[in-house]
Amino acid sequence: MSEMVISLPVNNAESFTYTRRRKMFSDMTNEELLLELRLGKEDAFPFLVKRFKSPLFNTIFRYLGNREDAEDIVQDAFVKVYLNVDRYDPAFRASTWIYTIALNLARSSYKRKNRWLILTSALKRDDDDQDFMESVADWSLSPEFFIDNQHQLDVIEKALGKINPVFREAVILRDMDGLSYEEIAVIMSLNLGTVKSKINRGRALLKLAIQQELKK
Amino acid sequence: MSAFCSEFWEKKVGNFLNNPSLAVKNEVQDHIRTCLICRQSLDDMLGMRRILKNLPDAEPGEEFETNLNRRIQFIRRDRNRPIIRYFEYFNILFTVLIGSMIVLLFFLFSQVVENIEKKKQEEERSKPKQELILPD
Repeated sequence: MSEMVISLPVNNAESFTYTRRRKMFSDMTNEELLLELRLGKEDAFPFLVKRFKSPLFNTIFRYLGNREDAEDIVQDAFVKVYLNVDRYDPAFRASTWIYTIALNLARSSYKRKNRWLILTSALKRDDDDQDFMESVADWSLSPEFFIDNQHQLDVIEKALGKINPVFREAVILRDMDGLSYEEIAVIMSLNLGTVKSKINRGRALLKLAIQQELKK
Repeated sequence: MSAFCSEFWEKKVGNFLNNPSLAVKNEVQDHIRTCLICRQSLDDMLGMRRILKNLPDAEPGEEFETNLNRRIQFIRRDRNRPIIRYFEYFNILFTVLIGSMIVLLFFLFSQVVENIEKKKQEEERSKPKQELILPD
C-alpha cells in the first residue's frame, strides 16, 4: 500500500487528515516533513534543518546584528520545533510556523539585551511623526552607495541596527526574505494593513538611517 | 517639496512598492515623469530594495549542525530513559537539601556563638565583686 490516510488532532478539537505517501524525505514538502516528524519519523528532522538553517540564520542575524546570538537563537528554535512538533497546525505553512518560533525567541533575546535602549527609545516619538513619511522623499542616497558592494553591506548592517526592531523585522521579512504579506502578518501577529504600513515606514526609516550612515 | 508631492509620497509610493495595481502604477509613472525629486527618491527606494534582496547570505558556523545534533541526541536520550528525568528531579532536590543544610548550619553556629557569649556574661556576673580598698 503506497498511501495511508491519518487523522491528526489539531488544537485539541479539530483534526487534520494527512494522506501519507511513500516517498523520500528529500522529495517531501516542508509541511510533510513536519507531519512525518510528528508521526515519529525522526529522520525527517535533519532535512528540515538543512532547508531552514541558512534562511533562518540570515533573518535572525540581520535582526540581532550578532552572529553568536543568532546561532544560539536558531539552535533554540530548531530544538523548540523538535519538541513542539505536536503543536504544528497544518493550516499554516511550515515556514511560517518555524519563522514565528525563531522570531519570538529573537525578540525576547533582543528585549533582554537592550532593556535600557528600548526604554529610552520609547520616550522618543520620532518613528511615529506624522510628517515623517512626507519628508522622506527629500533625502537622496549618494551614488557611491549603489556601486561599492562591501560599503553597502557595512552601511546596511549599521543602519538596520539603528531602526526600531518592529520596522526592522518587517523590512527583513519582506525585502530580504521575500515572504508574503500574509505570512508576515501571521509571524508578527498583526493585521495585513498594519504589516504594509510597518513595511513602508520601515523602508523609509532604513533609508534615513542609511543616509545618516553615509554622512559619517 | 510641494504639498502634492508629500501626499503622493505618503499615499501612493507605499502602494506602488507593495503590490501596485495598474491604476496606481500609471499614476506614479505620470507623476515622476514631471517631478524630478520624487523620481530620484523613488529610484533610491527601489535601489535600496534591490540591494536588500541581493545582500550576500550570512551562514551559520561549521559546527552549527554538529552542536544541534548533540542537543537533539541529549533530548532523545532523556526521552528514551525516563530515569534521567528522576535524576534531574534529584538534582533539584539535592540543591534544595544542600541549601537548607547551609541555612541550618548557619543557624546552629549563631546559636553556639550566642550561648558562648551568654555563658561569658553569666560567668562575669557570678564572679565576686572585689571591694575597693582605699588607703588610709
